[in-house]
Amino acid sequence: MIPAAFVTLQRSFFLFRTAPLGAKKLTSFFKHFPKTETKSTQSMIAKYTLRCICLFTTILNALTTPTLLASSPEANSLSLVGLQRGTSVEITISGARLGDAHSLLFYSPGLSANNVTKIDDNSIKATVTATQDAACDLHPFRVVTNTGISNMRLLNVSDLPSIAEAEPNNEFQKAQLISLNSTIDGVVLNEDVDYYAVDLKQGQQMNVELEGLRHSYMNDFFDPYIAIYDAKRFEIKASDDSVFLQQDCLCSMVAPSDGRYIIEVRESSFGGNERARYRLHVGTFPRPVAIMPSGGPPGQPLVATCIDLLGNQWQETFEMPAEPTAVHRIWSNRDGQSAPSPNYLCVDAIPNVLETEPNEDHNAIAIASTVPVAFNGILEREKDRDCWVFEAKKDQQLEIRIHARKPMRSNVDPVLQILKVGGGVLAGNDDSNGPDSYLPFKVPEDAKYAVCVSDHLGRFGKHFVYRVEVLLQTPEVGTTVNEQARYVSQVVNVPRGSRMAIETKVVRKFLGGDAHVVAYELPSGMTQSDAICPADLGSIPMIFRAEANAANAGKLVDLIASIATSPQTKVSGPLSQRTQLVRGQNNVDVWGRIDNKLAVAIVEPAPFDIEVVQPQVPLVRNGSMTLTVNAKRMAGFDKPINLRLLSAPPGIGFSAVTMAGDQSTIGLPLTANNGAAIRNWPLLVMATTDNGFGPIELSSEFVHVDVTDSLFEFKFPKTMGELGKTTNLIVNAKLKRPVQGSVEVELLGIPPGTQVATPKVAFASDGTQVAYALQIPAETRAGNYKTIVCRATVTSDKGVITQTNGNGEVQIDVPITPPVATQPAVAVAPSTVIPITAEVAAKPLTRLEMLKQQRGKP
Amino acid sequence: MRCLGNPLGRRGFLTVGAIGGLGLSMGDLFRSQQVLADQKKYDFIEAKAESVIHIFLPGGIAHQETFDPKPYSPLEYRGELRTIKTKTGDVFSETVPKLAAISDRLTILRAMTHGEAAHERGTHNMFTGYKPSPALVFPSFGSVVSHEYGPRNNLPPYVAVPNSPNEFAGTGYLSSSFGPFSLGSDPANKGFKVQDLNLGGGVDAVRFERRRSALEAVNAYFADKQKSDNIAAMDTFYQRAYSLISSDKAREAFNIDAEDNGLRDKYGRNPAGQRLLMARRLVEAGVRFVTVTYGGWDMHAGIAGAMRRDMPPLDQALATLIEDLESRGLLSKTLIMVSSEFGRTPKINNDAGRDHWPKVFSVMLAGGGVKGGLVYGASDATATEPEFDAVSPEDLATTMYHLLGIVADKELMSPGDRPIEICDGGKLIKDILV
Repeated sequence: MIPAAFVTLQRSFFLFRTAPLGAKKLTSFFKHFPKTETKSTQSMIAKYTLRCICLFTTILNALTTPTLLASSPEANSLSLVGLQRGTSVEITISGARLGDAHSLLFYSPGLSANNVTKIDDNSIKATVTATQDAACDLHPFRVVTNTGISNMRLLNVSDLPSIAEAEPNNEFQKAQLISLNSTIDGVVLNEDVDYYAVDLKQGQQMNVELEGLRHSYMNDFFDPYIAIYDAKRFEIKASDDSVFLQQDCLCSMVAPSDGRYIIEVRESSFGGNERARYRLHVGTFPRPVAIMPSGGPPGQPLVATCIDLLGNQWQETFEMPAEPTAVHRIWSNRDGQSAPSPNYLCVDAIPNVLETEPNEDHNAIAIASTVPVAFNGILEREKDRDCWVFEAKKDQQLEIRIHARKPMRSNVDPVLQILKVGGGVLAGNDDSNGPDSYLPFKVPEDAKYAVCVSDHLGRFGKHFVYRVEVLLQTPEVGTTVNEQARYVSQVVNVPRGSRMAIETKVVRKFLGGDAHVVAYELPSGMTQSDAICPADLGSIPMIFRAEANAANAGKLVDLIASIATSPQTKVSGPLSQRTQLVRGQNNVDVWGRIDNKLAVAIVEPAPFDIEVVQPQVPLVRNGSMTLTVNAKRMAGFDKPINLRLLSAPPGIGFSAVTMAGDQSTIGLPLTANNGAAIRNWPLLVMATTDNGFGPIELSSEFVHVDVTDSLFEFKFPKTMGELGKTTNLIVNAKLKRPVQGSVEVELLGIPPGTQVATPKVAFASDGTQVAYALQIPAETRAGNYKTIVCRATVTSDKGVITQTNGNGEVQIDVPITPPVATQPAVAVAPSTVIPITAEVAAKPLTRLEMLKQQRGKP
Repeated sequence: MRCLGNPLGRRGFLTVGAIGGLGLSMGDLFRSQQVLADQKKYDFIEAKAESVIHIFLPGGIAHQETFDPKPYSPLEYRGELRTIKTKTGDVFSETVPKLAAISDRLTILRAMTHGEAAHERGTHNMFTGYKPSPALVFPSFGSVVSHEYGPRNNLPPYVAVPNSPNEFAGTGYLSSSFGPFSLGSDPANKGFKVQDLNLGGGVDAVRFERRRSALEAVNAYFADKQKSDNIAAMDTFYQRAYSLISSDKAREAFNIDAEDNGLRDKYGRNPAGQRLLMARRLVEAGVRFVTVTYGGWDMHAGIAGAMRRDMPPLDQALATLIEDLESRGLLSKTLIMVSSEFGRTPKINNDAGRDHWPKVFSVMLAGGGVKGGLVYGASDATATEPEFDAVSPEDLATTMYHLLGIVADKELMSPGDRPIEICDGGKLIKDILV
C-alpha cells in the first residue's frame, strides 16, 4: 500500500519509463536510489522528478512543435555533408516527397549535381562535383522536384582530402589514426565518442576546426565538443563553442614534443543520432580568427595582419571586390595551404584609419579624421578603451556602427560612446545591432567629436578586433519575403498554367517613395505581376504565373527593389532572406543564413484552380463582405481546398474556410473594423490542398476590395423596459452619404426571451431614427444588457453593403409594486403601460423621453 | 464563569498552572490563547452542495470559443466559429451544442477577472482563491474542504482525477494529510484500475495485517524521534488507505467498469467522458471534492480547428454529467464548476490562435445551489473587459465555499500562529444562488 502522495510520484516515474526520448539516461539515474527511501531521498527524488518532468516536457514540446513547410519536399538527412575540391561524390538525400527530384539548386558557384536518381518516394541519390576553384566554405542548396523546392541544406567544400570515420574508434586506445592535413567525415551517435590519432613533431602547430551544428537541421540540435590529449591522456586543448565558429569548435595547439596526439569528438552532452554528421578539419593550415584591419575600400588590395587563436600574427594581401560589399569572404593562404573556412571583411568606399596607442583620452588625440571614415582597432589590454576623433559639421546626419560579431565574428561585445572633444558624453549604444553597436547621430554643431569603443565586460585579447564606421546617412532600399509558414524561408512553387503569390516587404532607409519590385531572369515560361509598393505601404503582394506549356525548372533569381530619386537616378537593393537552419529552445534562431536570391520553380499543374469574383460594392468600416471563391476542379479531384487571404490589410479580418470535396464555390468572409485603412486594396486568396503527395498551393488573381468610410452613423440611447411589457427600442441612425439601393436596418442581439415583431425595417435615405417595439415577456431575466446591435444593409443590383454597429443598452427591470396604502389601486396599471399607439409610432419616444413628457418637461 | 474579555475560564486558569509546570510560560500561553481568541470563527452554515466537481481546463480556455462569443464583432475578434442559441435564448459558441441545449441548468459567469497572465499564477488564483504570495503557500479548495469536513464513507474527501493537476492543488500551509488522492491513471484507459486499492499479488489479509503492524512499529519509532507534520500526515494517509482498502463499498467507487456500458458510451469513451463519469461515481459514493483536469487549452495557434477537435468530447461529457446527476437526484447537492486559469486574447493572433487574457473570461457553474439558465455578468463588445458584475477568484471561492456550508471568512491557522482567512475579501455572489 502506497500513500497518495507516493502514488503521484510513481506516476511521474512511469512517465520516464515510457518516455520515448532521453528515458535511458533518466531511468539509469533512478537506479542509483536505494529501494527504501529516507525522507531526504524522497525529497531528492521529488526534486529530480520535477526537473526531469520539465526536461521531458521540453523534449516533448520540441518534438511536437510543428515544422510547417511551405514547399512539400523535405531534405532531412544527407549521407555526406561535404567533399574535397576537384572531386565528385555520391550523396544520398533522405526526407519526404523527394522521389520526383530532378536537380539540385546551388546558391554559390563551384558545385554541380548530376545523376539525380530516385531511390524511393522519400529519398534520392545524386553525384555532386566540386570544381577545383570551388570556395572552401559551406555551400547552400535546395532539392528541386516536379512538385516543389525543398528546404535548404549545406554542403562543405574543403581543400583537404576527405577521410571517412572508421568505427570502432570509441576508445582512447583504439583511436583512428589519421594523417595530418585531412578532413574527416564522421557521425556522432547517441553517447558516441570518436577518437582520432595524429602524429606531430615538437613545435608543430595543429589547427582543428569542426563543422557540426552548422550541418544540423531544425530540431536536430547537434552541439559538438572537441578535446586534444597527449598520449598519456592529459588534455592539451578543448573547445565546446568558439566565437569564430559560433556553436562549433576550434582548437589551435603547438605540440610540446614529438608524439601521438588524440582528438576526441563528441556531443557536448553525449547526445547524438545518425543525423549528427560532422566534418573535422585537422591540419597545419592557417586559421586566423581576426584580420586587422577588418575591411577596406573596394577595388584595391588590402594588406592586413592575420591573427590566430594562439596570438600568432602574419601579413597577407587580400583582393577586394570592385563594389562595396557588406560581407566579403577571404581565405588566408599561407605556405600553400588555405584556411578551411573564410574570414569576413567589410568593403566600403571609405578610408581606413588604424589604431595607435595611447588613445584612451579623447581630449588627447591629435589627429581628427573627416567623415566618412573607418577606424580599425584591437582591444588588447584589460578594460581597454579606444577613442577616435573625427570632425563633423552641424546638422550632418551620421550613422555610426561598430562591426565586431557581424560580420567578422570577433570576440568583442562592443559598447559605443560619442563624446565631444573638450566635453562630455553625447550619446551611446550597446547592442542595437545585437550585440554590435549602432547609433544614428545628428551633429549638434561644427566641432570635433570622439567615438569611444570598449568591451561590455572589459575583456581583451590579441584577436579582439573591431571596426568603427562613421558614415554619412545614405539612402538604401531592399526587400525581404514574408514567411507564409513560420520559420520557413519562402520559396515560390508555381504550378504550370496557374500562379503562386508571395508578400514582399520593401525595406526603405533614409528614403521614401514608390518602390518597384522586380524578379530578374525568371525561368522560361514564368512571369511576375507588376509590383509597385506605394510610398505609404511597407509590403506588396506579388503573383508569379507559369505558362501551361512551360517546362518544370527551378532557379535562383534576384528580387530587386528600386526607388526613383530623380527621373534619371534610382536607388536599388537586393533581397535579404534569412533562412533558419537550426532553432533552439523557444524557437530561438540559433544558426541560419542570409541569402540574396529567391528560389522559384515551375512545378506540375495543380488539380484545381480558383477564381475570386470581383465585388462591385465597397467594404465599409464596421462592415462585412463575403468574397465568392469559385474552384475549377480537374476530373476526379474531390479533395477539400483550404482558402485564406495571403495577407489582410490593416483593420481587415478574414476567416480561413475549407471548400468541401464536392463543392465548387464558397464564401470567404471579410470584416472591416472601425479603423480599417481606407484604400482600394489588392487582395489575394491562397488555396491549398493535399492530393496525397504533400501540399499543393496556388493563389488567385488579384481581387480589389474598396475599403471606404462607414455609411451609417448609429447612436443608441439607453432603453428601459419592464417585465411583462413592451417598450420602444429606439436607435438614432443617419446615412452619411447618398447610396443607391434599398436600405434596411436590422436589430440584433436583443436580450434572451425578448422579441421584436419586425426586426428588419426599411430606412429612408433622410431618416434619423429607427424604432422597434421590444416585447419583454414576464419570464425574461431582469438585468442590464449591453448587447444591442444594428446591422444596416444597402441592397442594389451590384450587391449588398453591410455595416454592423453596437452596442446599445437595454435595462429590464422588475416592475415596482406601489405601496397599497398610499396609492389607489386604479392608478397603477394604465399609467405604467406604454401604449404603442399610432401617435407614438409616428414619433417613437425613448423611455426617458416618455418620463420627461409625463413630468411635463420638454 | 468567565470575565468579559478574558479568554480563560476558571478551569482554564487551573490548567494553565499545570502546563506552566511543564515549561510553557504564562506569557506563551496567553499569547497563543490570544491568537486563538482573535481568530475569526464561524459555525458551518447550511450547505446547499454536499460535493463539488471542479473541472479545470488547463492552459486557459477561450471564453469567445465557448460561453461568451461575440458574433457581431469584427472577424479578428469574433474568430472563425459560429454561434448557437441556447435553450434559454442566450448565445454560446458552436463548440458547446449539448450544453446549450441544457442551458437552463447552467449559470455562466461571463465577467470572471483577475490580472495574472502567466499560467502558474492564473492557476494559483483559480485553485486557491488567492493571488500567489512569496510568504505563504495557500491550500487548494479541495484541501480546505478536506480540512473542514474530513472523509465520508471511508472515502478520501479530496480526489484528483486523473492526477493531482498542479502544484497549487495541494495543501499549502495546511497539513499534508489534506492533500488530494490521485487516481494515477486515466479512467479512459483500457483496463483502468486505481493502483494500490487492492492487496498485492500473494498478499492475503493476515500477511497484510502483519505488514501493517510492522510498519506501525517503524512509524511509531520515527514519530517518537521527530515531531513532523509529514510523519503525522503519512500516518493519516495510511489510516485513510487502510479504511479504503478494507471497505468494499469505498473501493467500488473507483471501479468504473461497474458502470453501465450504455452510460459509459453516453459520457463518451474518451478521457473527458470517463473522467467525468469517474467524478460522478466518486461524489455519489461520498467524496466531497473531486478535481478533474482535462485537455490542453493553450491554443496560441489554430484555435478554431483545435476547439472543433477538443471541445465536443467535453461538451458531451459535461452535458451527460449534468443530466446523469439530475436523474440520480444529485444535481441539487453537487456543485459543478468548470474553470480555467484565464481566458484568451480578444484578437486572433497571426497564427490564427489566441494568447493569454486574464482580464475577462468565463466560468460555468451548475447544480449545488446555483440557479439555472442564468448568465451573470457580461464582457464588453469585444470580450476585452468586464462590462458589469465582474467576479474575482475571491468572489468565486467565497461563493463555492458558501454553497458547501463553509464561511470563507473563517480563519485557519497557518504556521507561526498566523490566522489566515480561507478566502480573503471575497464577496458572495448572491444573485446566482437559488
